[in-house]
Amino acid sequence: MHVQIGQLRQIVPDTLAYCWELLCADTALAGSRLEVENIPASIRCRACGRTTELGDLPVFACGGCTGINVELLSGEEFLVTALDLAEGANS
Amino acid sequence: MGRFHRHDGTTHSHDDDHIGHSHDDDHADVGDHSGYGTGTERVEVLERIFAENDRTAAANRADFAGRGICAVNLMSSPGAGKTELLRQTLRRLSGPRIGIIEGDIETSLDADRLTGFGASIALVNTGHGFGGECHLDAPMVRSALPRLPLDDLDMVLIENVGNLVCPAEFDVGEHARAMVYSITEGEEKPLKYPVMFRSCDLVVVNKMDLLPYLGFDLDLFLANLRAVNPAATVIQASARTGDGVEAWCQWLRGQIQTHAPAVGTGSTATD
Repeated sequence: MHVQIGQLRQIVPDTLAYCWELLCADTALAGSRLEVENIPASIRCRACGRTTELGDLPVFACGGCTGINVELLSGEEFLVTALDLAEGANS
Repeated sequence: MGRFHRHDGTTHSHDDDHIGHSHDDDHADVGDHSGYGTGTERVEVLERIFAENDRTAAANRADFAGRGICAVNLMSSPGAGKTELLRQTLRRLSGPRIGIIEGDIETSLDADRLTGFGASIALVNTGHGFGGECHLDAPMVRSALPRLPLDDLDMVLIENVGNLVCPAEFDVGEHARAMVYSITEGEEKPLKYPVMFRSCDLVVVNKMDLLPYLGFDLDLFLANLRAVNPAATVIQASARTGDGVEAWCQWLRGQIQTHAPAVGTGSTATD
């Protein structure tokens, strides 16, 4: 199962994968795995149009003009994006 | 989709793939599809993992709106002063009829502190024994609604479980989010818990009466808050002395006017 986790979601991917494994044990999904894609947080400045990735510090200011009138482009994802279904895997 | 089948009697065996896998291996080989090299099909989906919670939150919000109720989700760390602020609020905020949903891991201590002020209170204990959920989610709030006289309320204040992490993730059907931050917590908290501070429309900076005794740098805190959430309204207050509580009450009245404009403000439903 392919999962996207944005940088601004307070989710620990390893813990999520571990819990998934525990939940799936002894079910038809035993052996299935989470594939986590981490999505960095990025913002776009409404003043100068520049796109900035947040990096390690949660400062929501434009990397170009330092303006704070910004919109969030990514980073809040918590999605299932795709399933890889294995033929005959449950038999 | 044609090649995917399950429980259909096919007798393929893939026993070699994952039996005996250890957790250590799993963390190390994320991205390795070797076990699925043949016979797999990718199905694209785009499903929000919190969709179920968010559907219930939308139902809560619709139920509030349908009765002319403004709902505010009040969050903070443990001990920041949510309950004392609510106590002072109930003493001072005359006019709007208030219901409270009190989320606590255990005990009715907070709910007990809020009784006797004329507000209806529905307690949601999230725990069994000592310990429990660290946040309220939309279904928990929904379970409390039948215990409030919604037809006779103008505002529901939802006191979340004290925690700066998980409550920020869960929409419970509120119209606005407020946070109580106390100056004993340190100036850096907005940078350590940006999701919480960013999610709020208002931050009450509480325990300001302790400022003379603490080495608290208010300007640094406000700069950190602005870095994370430039738009948040800030009210400096002391729930203990009452300073700033009137400004908070004024903000609440404004929320009612914005989200439930026909009630609690003296205006009529035909406005």
